[in-house]
Amino acid sequence: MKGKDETQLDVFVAAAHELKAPLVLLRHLAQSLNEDEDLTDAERRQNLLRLSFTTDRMMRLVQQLTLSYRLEQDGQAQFNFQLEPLSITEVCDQALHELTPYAKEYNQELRLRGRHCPHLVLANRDILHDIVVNLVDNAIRHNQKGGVVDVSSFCRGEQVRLQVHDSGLGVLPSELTNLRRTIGRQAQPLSGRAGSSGLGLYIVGQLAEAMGGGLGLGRTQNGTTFFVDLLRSRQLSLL
Amino acid sequence: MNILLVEDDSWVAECYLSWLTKAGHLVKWVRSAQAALDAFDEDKVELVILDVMLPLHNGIQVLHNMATHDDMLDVPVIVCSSNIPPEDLWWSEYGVVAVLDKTSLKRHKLLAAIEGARP
Repeated sequence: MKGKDETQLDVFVAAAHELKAPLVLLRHLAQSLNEDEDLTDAERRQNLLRLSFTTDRMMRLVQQLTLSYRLEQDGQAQFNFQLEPLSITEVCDQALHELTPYAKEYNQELRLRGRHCPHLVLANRDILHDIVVNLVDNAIRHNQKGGVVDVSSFCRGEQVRLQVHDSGLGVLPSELTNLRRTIGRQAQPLSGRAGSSGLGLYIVGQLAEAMGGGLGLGRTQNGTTFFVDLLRSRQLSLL
Repeated sequence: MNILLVEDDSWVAECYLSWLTKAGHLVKWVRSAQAALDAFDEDKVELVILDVMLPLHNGIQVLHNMATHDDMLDVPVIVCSSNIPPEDLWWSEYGVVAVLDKTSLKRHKLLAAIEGARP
């Protein structure tokens, strides 16, 4: 198990790495807009849209890094997340609605399964929203061309499992055992997700843990499934 | 030129595709090392533009495979990455004619490197 200082150093290095890819993209897009005299109106609009999406993603990452640092420093006990009974379907629906134009730009379809799931989770709305956005964003960017990202939830005893599945390249079988043990506990790159430092998953793991849950790696055949287990609320949904 | 572009980030790849096709090149774009290997068998490739950080098997693996592939032995490679490995001394042994840093890459630099790679 790594110490706090070592973990923070890993996160620092991962953050520098993680910001590099969107910065490279921003630079290329801006360069095309500035210097490419042959750009059609449609290409110009597309580049501007991608600039905007990429900037949003970087903003999210920077905000979550701040939160991650505070969680690491102060511990979740100091944090006082306000937990409330929430419809996981409603939070997912909202996040997917927001991400749909972004997914479209990547030629990806987003699907929410199990809309009938009546179970409520005990969670913080903003944090749960961040978790869904992180996992789905990750899946969108690493999925195969024209792929589908499936989001689903189901009950497991006293917990509700939120799953995000993509049909991308998955991970190497040789990595699986170690990954299942360490996922969400440290920033670590995944073989199927080139250019990614695994920082987003580490932050998801931290956020889930702060709400009494955890991150895991599920089925890996035909893609990758990440799941987050959350506390189930005893309150019944009226929906 | 018939160019094989190996780049896993689709938006970055589409930027390069736009630059290259407007300069008159024919480009096939693949996102993984395995897809690059498949393309060596299927297509006539005159130049490879290769990212190093690829999913599952990285760009160095592609270079190793090119070295054992008869049709690809003399095909020049431009490495284009934001994480250039330090072992740059052996690039030329793998037919790498230019190593470009993505973080400071400009369109004219890429096009100049392609011109420089022509036999």
